[in-house]
Amino acid sequence: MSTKDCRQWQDELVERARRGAGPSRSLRAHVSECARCEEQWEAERTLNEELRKLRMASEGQRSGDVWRRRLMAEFAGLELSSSRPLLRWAWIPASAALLVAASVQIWLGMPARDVPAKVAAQSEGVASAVSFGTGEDSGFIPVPYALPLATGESVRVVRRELNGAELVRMGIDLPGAFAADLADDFEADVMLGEDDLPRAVQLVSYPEL
Amino acid sequence: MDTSDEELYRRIRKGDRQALAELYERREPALYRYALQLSGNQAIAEEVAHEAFLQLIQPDARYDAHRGSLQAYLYGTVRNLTRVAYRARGAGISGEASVDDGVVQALIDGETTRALSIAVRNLPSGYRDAVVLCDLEERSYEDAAKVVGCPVGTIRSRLYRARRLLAAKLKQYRLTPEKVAR
Repeated sequence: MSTKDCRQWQDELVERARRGAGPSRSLRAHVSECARCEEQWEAERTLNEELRKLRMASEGQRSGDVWRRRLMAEFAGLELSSSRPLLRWAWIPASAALLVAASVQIWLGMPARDVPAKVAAQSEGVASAVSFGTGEDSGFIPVPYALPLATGESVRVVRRELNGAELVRMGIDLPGAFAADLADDFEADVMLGEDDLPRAVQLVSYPEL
Repeated sequence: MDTSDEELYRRIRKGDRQALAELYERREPALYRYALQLSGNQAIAEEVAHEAFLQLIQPDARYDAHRGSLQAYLYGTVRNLTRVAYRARGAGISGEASVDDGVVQALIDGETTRALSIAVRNLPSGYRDAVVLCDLEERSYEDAAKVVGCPVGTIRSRLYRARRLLAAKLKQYRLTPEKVAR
């Protein structure tokens, strides 16, 4: 003869119903004698079945792929900005070198080498960035889903070694010819907004071109 | 053997994108579903699951491996963010949920199950957490307790009471479906 009271039986029947298990012999004996526990047993089993259907309804659900790509792009942006302290003072020697080079070129009377137009015009944002092209038309590829630059927002361009997989994570689709070289590193200029998030990428060199 | 979440997190802190992709693939679906079950709203669930990972990759992320598992931390973040998101939209999460307020309702086949979904979201928050974590997400009592930040016994008793309330709602619904549906 069991010494359990109804509260203890109900604890057991809830756990059994949750696991989808049938009643033990002793529980069955109690339920057959106790109308209240029998009613709860049935209620718990019904509830469990409905909860199972509810669980099944959302099974396999997940956020769209666009959210994953956005996260990876944000992560890439954070990585780029983390290298900022190193670059904080880099403009001084770079400017000095540029000044010296320009002076030498003027002094020699040689025509200045073309600066890539898209880099020079970086403060204009990416609205006019051209698509993935060749030759003279090649330029910055806008990063999808990136917030547009605000009017007057300044940008800066940093040169990085990237590979195709990183571009894909940023949401930039490579044309078929390049897609096969996902693992190859190449140099790229990455245009960053004032929030240090990437807005556009310009491929500078490819290993196989 | 799979790399642990915590190891992936350590690699993420060092800038390992593959580790982030792996952690996302492993945990995002369940976190999304959790937010979906709590809110009943697909847009909120997507935003919240994204924001949870976004917070995790920030330089000032608050996760501390000594205080618990990364999984529990992510669930806790999603739980809090869902509340905030719901409040921001001017609807208390424990407020009256309606039949047409989310994708969950569209997915549910059956009036009784649909009524149950609404009843779950109308439970007091502590009870709702227990049901969603333990019965819908099938987390253990221990995991659920870590997410909610309470003793295991509290989760058990909340779940017990929540199930009593839900069973009563279902019974009532079967008697008078039109009154209980909303």
